[in-house]
Amino acid sequence: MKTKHKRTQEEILYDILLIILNKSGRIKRTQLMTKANLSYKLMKNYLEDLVKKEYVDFVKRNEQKYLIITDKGRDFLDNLIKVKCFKETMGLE
Amino acid sequence: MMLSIIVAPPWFRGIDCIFEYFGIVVFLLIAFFAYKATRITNDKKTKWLFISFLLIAGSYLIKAFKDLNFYFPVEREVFIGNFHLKYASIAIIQSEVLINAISRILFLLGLVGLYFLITRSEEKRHVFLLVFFTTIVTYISSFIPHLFHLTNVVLLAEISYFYFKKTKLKQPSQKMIMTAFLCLMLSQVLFLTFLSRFYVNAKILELIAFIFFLIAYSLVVFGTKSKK
Repeated sequence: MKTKHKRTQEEILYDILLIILNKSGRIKRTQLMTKANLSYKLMKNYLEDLVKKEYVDFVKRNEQKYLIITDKGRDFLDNLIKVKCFKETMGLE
Repeated sequence: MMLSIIVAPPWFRGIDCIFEYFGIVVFLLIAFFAYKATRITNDKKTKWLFISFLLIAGSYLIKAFKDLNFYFPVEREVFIGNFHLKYASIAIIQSEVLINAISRILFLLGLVGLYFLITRSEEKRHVFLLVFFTTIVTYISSFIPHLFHLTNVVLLAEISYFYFKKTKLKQPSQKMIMTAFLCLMLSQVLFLTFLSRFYVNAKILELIAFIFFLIAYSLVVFGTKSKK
C-alpha cells in the first residue's frame, strides 16, 4: 500500500498560497480548507501566521469574507517556488 | 627540497586560473542561493548544500591563488651594503604541500557533503568514516597526487549515479547538473594522467561543467515564477 507523505510546514504554506493565487488571488475560507486538505484548527493557525506576516489579508465583498494574497505574499510564493525548483534541481527532493 | 611539477603548458598558465575564478563565482552563486533557501525554509539539507558548495569554492580559490604565485612569482630586490640581491618570493611555493593539502581536503569534503545529500544517507557513523578517509587520502596525496584525482573520480561517479537514480532527469535543469557532474568526473580522469596535453582538455571540460552549473542556476533563479 502506498503511504501518503506528510507535508512539511513549507509545503502547506506553498499549497495555501498557490491555491489562493490560482483562484484569481481571492478565495473563501471554507473553499481553501477543502482544497488545501486542512482541518479548521490547522488552517486557522496557518492563516494567523500568514496574516501576521502580511502575505494574505481578509476583505469583505457582497457580505462575504474573502481571503486575498498580497504583493508580499506573491513575492514569498515566488521565492518558495524557486526554492522548490532549486531543491529538485540539486537532487534534494 | 621539494621539487614541484607544473603540468600546465606555458601558454596556458594563467588562463587555467581564469577558468578557476569563473568556477568560484558559479559555486558561490549556488552556495548563496542555498543559504537564501535555508533562511526561507529553515531546511537542513539546503544548509549542508550551502556548506558543500562553499567548501568547493574555497578549494578552487586556494588552488587558483597558489597556481598564480607559482606561474608568476613576484621578484623582489634587496640592497645589503654594496650587494644587490634579486630573488623571487617563494614563500608560497615553499608551503606548497600545506596549501595543496588544504585545497584538496576542502574539495573532497565538499564532494562528500554532496554525496551524503544526494544519497540521503543519515547514518552519522558513515559521515565520520568518510571524513576520516578524506583526511587520509589528503595526506597520502601529498606523496601520490594520483590518489586525490582517483578519489574525486569515484566520488563524482557515485554522485552522478545516485543523482540520475533519484531525479530521473525530468527537468532541463537536472540534465544540466548531471552533465556538469559528468564533465567534472571526466576532467578528473584526464588530470590523473598528469600530461600537459590532457591538462588543457581537462581544464576545458571543467569550464564546461561550470557553464552547465551556471545554466542550471539561471534556469532556477530566472526561469521560475508564479503566474501573476
